[in-house]
Order: sequence, then C-alpha cells, then structure tokens
Amino acid sequence: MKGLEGMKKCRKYIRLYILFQIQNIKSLAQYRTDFLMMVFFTLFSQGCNLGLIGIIYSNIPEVGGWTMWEIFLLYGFLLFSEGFINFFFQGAWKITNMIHMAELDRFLVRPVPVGLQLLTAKIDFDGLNKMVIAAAVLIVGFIRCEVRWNPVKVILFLLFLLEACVIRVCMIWIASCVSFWMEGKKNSLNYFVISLGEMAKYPLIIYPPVFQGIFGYLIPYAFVSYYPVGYLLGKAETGAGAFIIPFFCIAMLAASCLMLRAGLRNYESSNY
Amino acid sequence: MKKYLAYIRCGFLEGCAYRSTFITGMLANFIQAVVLYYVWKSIFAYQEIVNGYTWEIMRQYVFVAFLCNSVFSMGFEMNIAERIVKGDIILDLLKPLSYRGMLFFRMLGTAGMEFAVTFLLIGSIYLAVNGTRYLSGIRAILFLISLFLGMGVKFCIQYLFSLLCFYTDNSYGVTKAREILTNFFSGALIPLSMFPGVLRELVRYLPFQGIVYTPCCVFIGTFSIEECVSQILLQIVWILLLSLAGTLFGKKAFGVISMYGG
Amino acid sequence: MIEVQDLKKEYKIAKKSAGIAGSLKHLIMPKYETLEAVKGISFHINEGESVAFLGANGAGKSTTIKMLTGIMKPSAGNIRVMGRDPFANRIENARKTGVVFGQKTQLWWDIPVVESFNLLKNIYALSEEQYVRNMERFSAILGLNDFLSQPARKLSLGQRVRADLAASLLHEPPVLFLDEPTIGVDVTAKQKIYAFLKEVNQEKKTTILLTSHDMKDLESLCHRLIILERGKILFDDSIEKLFDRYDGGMTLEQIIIELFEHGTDAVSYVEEQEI
Repeated sequence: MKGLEGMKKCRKYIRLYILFQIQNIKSLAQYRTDFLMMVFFTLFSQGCNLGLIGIIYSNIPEVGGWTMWEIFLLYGFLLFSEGFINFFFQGAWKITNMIHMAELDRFLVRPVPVGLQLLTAKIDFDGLNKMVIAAAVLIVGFIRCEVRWNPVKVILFLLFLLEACVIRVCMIWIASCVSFWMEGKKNSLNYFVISLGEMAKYPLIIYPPVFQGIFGYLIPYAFVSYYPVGYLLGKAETGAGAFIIPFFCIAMLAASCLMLRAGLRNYESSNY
Repeated sequence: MKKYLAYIRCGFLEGCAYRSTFITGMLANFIQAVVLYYVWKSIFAYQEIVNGYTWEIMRQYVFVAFLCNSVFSMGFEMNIAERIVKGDIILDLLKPLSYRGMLFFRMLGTAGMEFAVTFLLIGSIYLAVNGTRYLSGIRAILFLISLFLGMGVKFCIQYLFSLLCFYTDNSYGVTKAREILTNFFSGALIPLSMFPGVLRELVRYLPFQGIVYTPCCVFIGTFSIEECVSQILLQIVWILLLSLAGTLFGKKAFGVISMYGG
Repeated sequence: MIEVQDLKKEYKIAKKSAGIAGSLKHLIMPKYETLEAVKGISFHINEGESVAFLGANGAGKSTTIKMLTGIMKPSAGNIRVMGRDPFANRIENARKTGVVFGQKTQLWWDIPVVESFNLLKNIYALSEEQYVRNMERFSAILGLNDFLSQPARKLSLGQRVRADLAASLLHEPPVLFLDEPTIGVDVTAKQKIYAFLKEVNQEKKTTILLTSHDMKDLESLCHRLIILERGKILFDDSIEKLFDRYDGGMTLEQIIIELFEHGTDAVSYVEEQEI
C-alpha cells in the first residue's frame, strides 16, 4: 500500500518536474536570446579546450601513459555531465541567490518538495550544446581508442555517464547549500568546485598522492571521469575504482538531502 | 588628472569590494596552472626536452604565466552589459570625461589590488619552487614594463569586446569567449612556441601574445635582450592599433544606445 | 485553528569590527550576538476569525508569520496550525494554507500570469471544475482579465498583489496568511483587495491573519488586533475593546501611536485582563 503511494508521489513529482521545465523554456522564449551566438561561443570555447590538449600532444606522445584520444574521453565525460547539469538541473546553481533574496520563501509555502523546486529554478540551453559536443567527442574517441564493445560494456558506459552526472549535481548542490550558513551574498564555493574539474581532465596518476586522495575521495572528481574511462579502456591502474562509484553516488545523494534539511532548519529568511 | 586619480582609487576600492569574484577567478586560473604544472612534470619525467623547453624553464613559465594572466583578470564586459540593459550607461556618458579613460583608470586601480595579491602568492610559490638563481635585475625591470604594456593590450581587447555588448544581450557569452580567446592565444596555458606550424605563425600576427607570452619570455630568459626590446615595441604598436580600433568601433556602438531608449 | 505557545525566535548576528583586520579576526574567532526577534508569545485563533498583526518595523510580525507558515523553524515554543506543526509537516501545511507576501510575488516572473495559475493548479492538484470555478470568481471580483496574458514582471504593483491574492486562494485554503499585502498599493486597488478579503472571510469562513500598516483598512476587515512591540504582545483583543480604553474621539491610528508611546501602560492592561 505504501509502495503504491510512493509510486504515485514519484509520478506526480516527475510530472511537476516536466511542467516546471516547460515553463522555464517558455520564460526563456520571452527574451531575445541569441541562440546561434551561444552555439558559436560554446563550440569555440570547447574547441579551444580540446585544441590545448591537442597542442600539448603535438609535442609529446603521451601523458602519464594516456594517449590523446584517451584524454579526450576523460574530457567527454566531464563535458557531458556539465551540460547535463546546465540543461536539467541548472537550478542547483541558484540556491545561493534564492537564499539571499529570500526567494526560498515562495518555494516553502507550496506543497512540493523544496529540492524539486530548486532544481527546476532555472534552465540553461547551453547545456544542450555541451551534451552534443561531448557526445561527439565520446563517439570519435571510442572509435579511435578501438574499444571492444559488448552489451555489458555498453550498459556500464551508460551507467557511468549517469553516475558522473549524479555526482556532479551533488557536488554543486552541497557546495551551494553551504550558503545557508554563510553571511555574504556570494558563495564562491560552487565555482571553486567547478574549477577543480580541470583536474579531472587528466589521469589521476600524474598528481602527487595528496591530490590523488583529495580528488579520489574528498571531492570525488576521479569518479566522474578517471575511473569510468579507465575501466572502459581496460587500464590496469584504475583497478576496481569503477565499482565503488554507485556507493559514492548514494552517499552523495544522501549528503545532499541532509545538507538541504539542515540548511532549511537554519534558514533565516532575510527581509530584503 | 585629479578626477582620474579619483577613478584609480574607486577602482581599487571596487577591487577590494569584489574580492570574492577576483579570488574565485584567480583560484580557477591557479588550479589550471597547478594542473598544467603536473601535466608537464609527468611529461618531463619521460623526456628531457620538449620543443626546446627543459623542465627548469617550463616550471618557471607556468607560474610567471599565471601571474601575468591574473593581473587584471576581472573583466568589465558584464558590468558594462548590465549598465546598458538598465540604461545606467547614459549616466556614465554624461560625465565630463572620456568613457574609455574612466574605464582604464578604474582598471588600473583594480589591477593594483590584484597585482598585490597575486604577486605575494606567486612570488612566494615561485621562490619556493625555483629559488633565486634565475632572477636578474635588468630582466626584472623589462618584465615589469612588459607586464604593464600587456595590461594595456588586454584592456584594449576587453574594451572592444565590451562594445559588442551593445549588440547582443549574451554578455556572459561575450565575456567567456574573450576569456578563452585571450587564455588560449596569449600563451597563458602553454608557451606559444609549442604551437604547431600554421598556428604558430598565426599567433605571431595576433595581439594576444603581448598579454602573457611576451612578459613571460622576458622574465625567464627565452628572449635575448634585443628580442625583449623589439617585442616590447611590438606591444606598444598593438596598443596603438587596438585603441584606434576601439575609437572607431566605439563611435558606432554608442550610436546604438538610442535604440534602447535610455 | 491556530495555536501558538511561548513562541521564540532568535537570530544570530555576526559581530564584526570594521576593516580587513576585523574580517580576519571574524574568520578565526567569530563572535555572534543573539537578537531575540520574538520573545515568547502565545495566542489562539479560532476558525473564521480575521486577525490583524500590528507593530512597528522590527516588532516581529514578519518573523511570526514566517514561522506560522513553516518557512522558518522556531527557536523555541509550539505552533499548531490545524493541529500540525507547520515546519515539520511543511508540505501538508502548505496544502491547507495560502500565503501572500506584499513585498515579493509568488508568481513566475517571466511567464504570463495565466500560466502561473495553470502551474499552481497542477501543484495543488486541483480539479478542472474547481479551477475554472475559482478562476471565474476571482477574475470577476479582482478584475484579473485585464492582465492575465502579461508576464508578472510587467504588472503594476496593484495588479500583482491582486494576482498573488488569487493565486494564494486558488486551492481554497482554510487559513490565509498575508504579510503586508497592500504595501505601496494605491487606494482604489486597496479597497478592492480588502472588500475581496472580507467576502472570502465571511462566505468561506476562511481564517485570515494579516500584518499591515494600513490601520484604516484593518478596521473594516479585522475584528481582532494583536499588537506586537519588540517581540512581545502589547495588546490582544477586539478593536472595540481598544476603542473603549481610550476616549471616543480618537481614531485607531491615534490610539496606536498613543499605545506605542506609553507602551508600559498597555502591557499592564493586558496583565490586568489575565488576572
């Protein structure tokens, strides 16, 4: 009986999620946005990022035992998860804003979980561009790396991609929720977390042990790109890392929920 | 002159007030520098020389490039775009002094703050990693001149990009594109001499090298003294050319304001 | 309907000295001051009552409303709205209450008002029949039709408050909270709003609790006043009782000014009552 109720609730929330996102799209249409320009900018900047890696590799054969296309795969995972957040859960970025403008109030007086409302507070079409570029990079990369595919690997690949997205949403979520305890109007922590993603563009083994520890476990970027790609490529050094990812996902989801709960308990809707 | 001094002061205070933005931006650049440091380190573990660069030179390059890139890292495009959208830009244009002059002196003030912070940070890291053995007096002076001119080049480029905001409301995209363009072609991430063939030739004819690559090479000694002087002269030429372009484009762009109706 | 006992709310305020040295000091050894915004208040509101919260800025009105609506967690004390703790059972509570903040809108900023209503219909899972009936009624009384197709950001303040009011009543909540709903709204729009509220209160027996500075309008709508001063209740009774206390010639506004000036007398008045 309870399970049925849960299912019903779940369906209702998914329906609301879709409705909210449709509204977001409609509200974007109210503005004169230069979609083509955005596509151009994104293509350009991602091209530059990839070009940088290409230039480094034009001078040398490999970095830490990884070839250029293998590094591109790491990049593809990172970029895809970033685009995924931008498009589906960009609201995670707005938490700080919501808290300081006391906009959270209106979410709190509606009979819908605050988390759902926060996640759908914004949408960024640029995410679509990023996902498309990332998908292209991944496809070409896998062809170039001559990965032997089998059904299990395909499923694992999709699972890894999903896990990467979940971990990254949670990272931003947790960093943003710190705003509940901060006084300043700005929370740079989430930008910091995003900037750290730079680290995940290269294999973990090139960093000294301290950093390996930090990116392996504290801010688990290694699980976004290094371990999954390493597993798919059959790199020995990544070992069993890929199989711990689900536990990390669950732990981070739980941490995100706890952060929001604790934060709301501490929420002092300011009178601005 | 007095009013410009006031703007320097104003820029400095603004820099302090928005220090969190600056620190976030700097940290992002710093992380990038650290990552590149380790990438190069792992590369040099396998081979001694990459395209003429040794590990000794490269590890200086990474930090000095970061310093050059961080000074005046805060772009003003977003700020201008916001003022255009709100119509506040009219107020700026009504003031009895050149708009660009005002921006420049404000930037100088902000850059002063940024320079102080980055210099302390990078100076100490540089000394910890490299020690004092590569330092030389004449190069240090030339470096400061070149760094200052590099800021000038960067200012001109930012000004041109900020004028684009009159035509598009995607100021975030404009800022990002400018940031990436300058990061990529200025040598902030990787020495320009490592660029392959055609690209290497191309960057030679672009103004961006003046921002990071020129001061960097002056400092770490990959340029001979004569080369230093000629490159510094080239920076000045670029500043003149870019400000001319800024003036011409500015005349056109400010004409657009009436479209927004204030 | 609403029961409040010994309700307290403390804010922690950082005590920072000026300058960079001060900021650094705060980073290492933060010092906080506690500010008691609400200092243990108790009251009881029955079904169908319409009660006004009066008080100067910072008296604790908004804080109280925010705790009653489940937005903030009280530091101490008990709240029961229809038998539930609004913070712990936030979602359930939200389903049964309507809230209007005069200062900010609950409508979606960039989409036409009618789309906002449509979303609310889905959020509160209203039936088509209920939705259409209420929309027709609200449109007629509040004149929503003039601006239903406009996005919220383009509305005038009066229009916005009317739309917000309709939005908060769409699901026919038994309790309605209004936090300074008519702040900055012009006289004609204000009249419309209060007339509408009165009708809702009388016809649907909706319990209304509002804070406002507009004492004149309160007179027509609310029969009971709760006057707050520095987080404490100065007066809690019907408006007539307040008039009885003072000479007949005074307006409500004058009485209240009098009350704030000689606050202690009023406190003793409440105490007398309790004895």
